[in-house]
Amino acid sequence: MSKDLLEQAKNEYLETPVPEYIKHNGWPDLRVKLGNRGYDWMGLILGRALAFAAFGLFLTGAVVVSAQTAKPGNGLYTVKVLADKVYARATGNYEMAIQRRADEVINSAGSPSQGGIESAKKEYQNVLEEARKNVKDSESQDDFEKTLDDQEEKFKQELEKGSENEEHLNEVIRETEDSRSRVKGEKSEGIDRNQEDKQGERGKD
Amino acid sequence: MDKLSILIKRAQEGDKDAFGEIYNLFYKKIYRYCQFHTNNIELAQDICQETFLKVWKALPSFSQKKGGTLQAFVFKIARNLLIDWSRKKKESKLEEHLDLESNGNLIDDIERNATIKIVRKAIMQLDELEQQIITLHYFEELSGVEIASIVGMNEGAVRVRTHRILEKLKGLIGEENV
Repeated sequence: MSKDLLEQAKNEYLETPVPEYIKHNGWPDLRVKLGNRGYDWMGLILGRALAFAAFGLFLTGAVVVSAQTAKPGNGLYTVKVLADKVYARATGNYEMAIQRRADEVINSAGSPSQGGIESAKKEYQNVLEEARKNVKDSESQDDFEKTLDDQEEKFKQELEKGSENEEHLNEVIRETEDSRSRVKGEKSEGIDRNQEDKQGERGKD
Repeated sequence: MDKLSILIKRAQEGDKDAFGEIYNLFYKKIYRYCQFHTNNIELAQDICQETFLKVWKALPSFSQKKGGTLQAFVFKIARNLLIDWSRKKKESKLEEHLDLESNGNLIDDIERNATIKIVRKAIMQLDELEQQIITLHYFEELSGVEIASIVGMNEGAVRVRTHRILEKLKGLIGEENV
């Protein structure tokens, strides 16, 4: 009985009368409302630009990651140094960059290649100079001095081992000491200046 | 490439005449499907038109490669619109009830035939998903794959569910008919 009813209902469903409006005006009315489907140039350009940017970002990331194992004198070494510089400038923390450059000097000192030690020394000097300028007016001068002490200690230990590049190691030790004394000098100058200012103010009172 | 595939490709590229042919192929099916679920001619017309407007907009994303059919694609859009309408209807149930009483001319009496009236009454006692599955399977004779893609289930689950719903429906019709 219910099966017959279902069959009958199905036939009635299929014969549902379609109103005159939709039969005659449905399509013409709809056609007017359809927007033009022009080629979406903006979407395409934006999509390509995003894809290009994402690819560029990926590529940069890949180069930076692979550059982390580069040694002084290698092609990717510049990328490694640059990545450390960017990090140091962004965070204001030069400790990592100084340590890495110092380690490179020590590692290169044990290698017979002169190009490596020259390059490592140059980058170590550069990072010291930049760090010194940046910590000059900041409160991290003590940290900077501590970092320099550590590096000097490492260089001296390497020197004690009897390196072939003794001259280079002595040079970086001198650079380190020089940087430390300049920072100390600037610090004491700053303290003296502060004291003079305070005395001046008292005198006025 | 069959005729429908050519029409789809042309419509995807923006050919409105090709889309007009697609419209002519499906509008009766979509209209009666909407009318059955809304029980209102004007509303069914509106939802039918809205369906094709959305189909036009969404057509570039349609692909036959994934095993989808255009029929399932169109029905899926119609079903989503019916669900939206059903939600709104629930939200304004009281309001609608008052409207029904005061504006009787808006409600079209499509239940001229007693049989479909009994069956619809029984179907309306099923939940929304069951209503859709039974209409698409039994009345529209869509394939299991098509129904699965419309309601977002796998084909096996649709087959099992259809069998259960038919049994349930037979029981409900029996009760109505007593």
